[in-house]
Amino acid sequence: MVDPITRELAQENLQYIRKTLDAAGRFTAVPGKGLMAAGAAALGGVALNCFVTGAPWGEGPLHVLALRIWGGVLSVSVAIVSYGIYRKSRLTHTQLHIPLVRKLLWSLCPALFVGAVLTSLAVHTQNLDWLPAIWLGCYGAAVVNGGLVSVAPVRYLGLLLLAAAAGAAASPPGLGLAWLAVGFGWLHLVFGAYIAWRHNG
Amino acid sequence: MARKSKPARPTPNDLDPMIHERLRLGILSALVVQESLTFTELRELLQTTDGNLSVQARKLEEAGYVICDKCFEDRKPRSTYRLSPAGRLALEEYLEKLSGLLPDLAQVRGRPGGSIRPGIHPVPLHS
Repeated sequence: MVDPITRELAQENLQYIRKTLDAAGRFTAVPGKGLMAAGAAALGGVALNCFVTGAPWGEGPLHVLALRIWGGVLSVSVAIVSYGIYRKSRLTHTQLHIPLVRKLLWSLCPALFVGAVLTSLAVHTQNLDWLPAIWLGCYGAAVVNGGLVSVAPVRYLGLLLLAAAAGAAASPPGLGLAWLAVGFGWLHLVFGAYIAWRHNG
Repeated sequence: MARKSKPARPTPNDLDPMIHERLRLGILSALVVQESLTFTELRELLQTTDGNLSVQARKLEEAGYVICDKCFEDRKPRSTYRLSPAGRLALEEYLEKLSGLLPDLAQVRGRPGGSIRPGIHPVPLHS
């Protein structure tokens, strides 16, 4: 018969090991510099969008061009961040375990899927002024979820993106591009710099 | 006819004292998941101080359970820790003995689909 103190000690140690394994298994290959580059790409997108079509998009004839610009920004950002993850995992010798990547994708994809559906709906119903709030909100929700299996600053980035989405929803349509610049641009630059400084690049 | 005797249940004294200390256990557990971790990463992960981590990591290094690679990055020293094969084996044995201290856990382990009490799960080392 094992005495209660020993049993309690064994339970505590097993729980501690489990907690440590869980914490160590987090996704740490978040590329700070990659996020900064994605932020710069978003600011470039805002500048180009502003120059070509202006805001709000609903009033101009060139809204298709504006959507193409943002499609380009999205493609460039995904490519930069994906390469950044690969590079950082190589540099820091962090293994990208398949279960971890799967967990990350499960946490990111639902909100991004909702974002794609709402974008399609907004485009079909010509409610393009909703797009900044939809994009920032769905991306923010995805980032908050992703932050649960990653480093803490990612969660705070997600929360601030949600706040930016709320700001975009409450502001006049003409400020949509400004909110995109804040959310996709400046927040990525600031958090990217912090992650690069505190979490090895 | 000779009866096959059951293996003796482990006692707390059977646990490897080098691993049993909480912070050293944390270092080894973290290095099971990550191939290598820097000193700073370990310190943040285990929420400890520089001095404490440094002392406990050195003990593990001296015992041959972890391997420490030291280099300079931007003129700053950087220590990176890896789990040695001996460290992995020692942790596996430790876990085996630790779970042997929990009778119902040991019974459930052998039963397919058996439930384990909430919060207590056998920890897979090779996932």
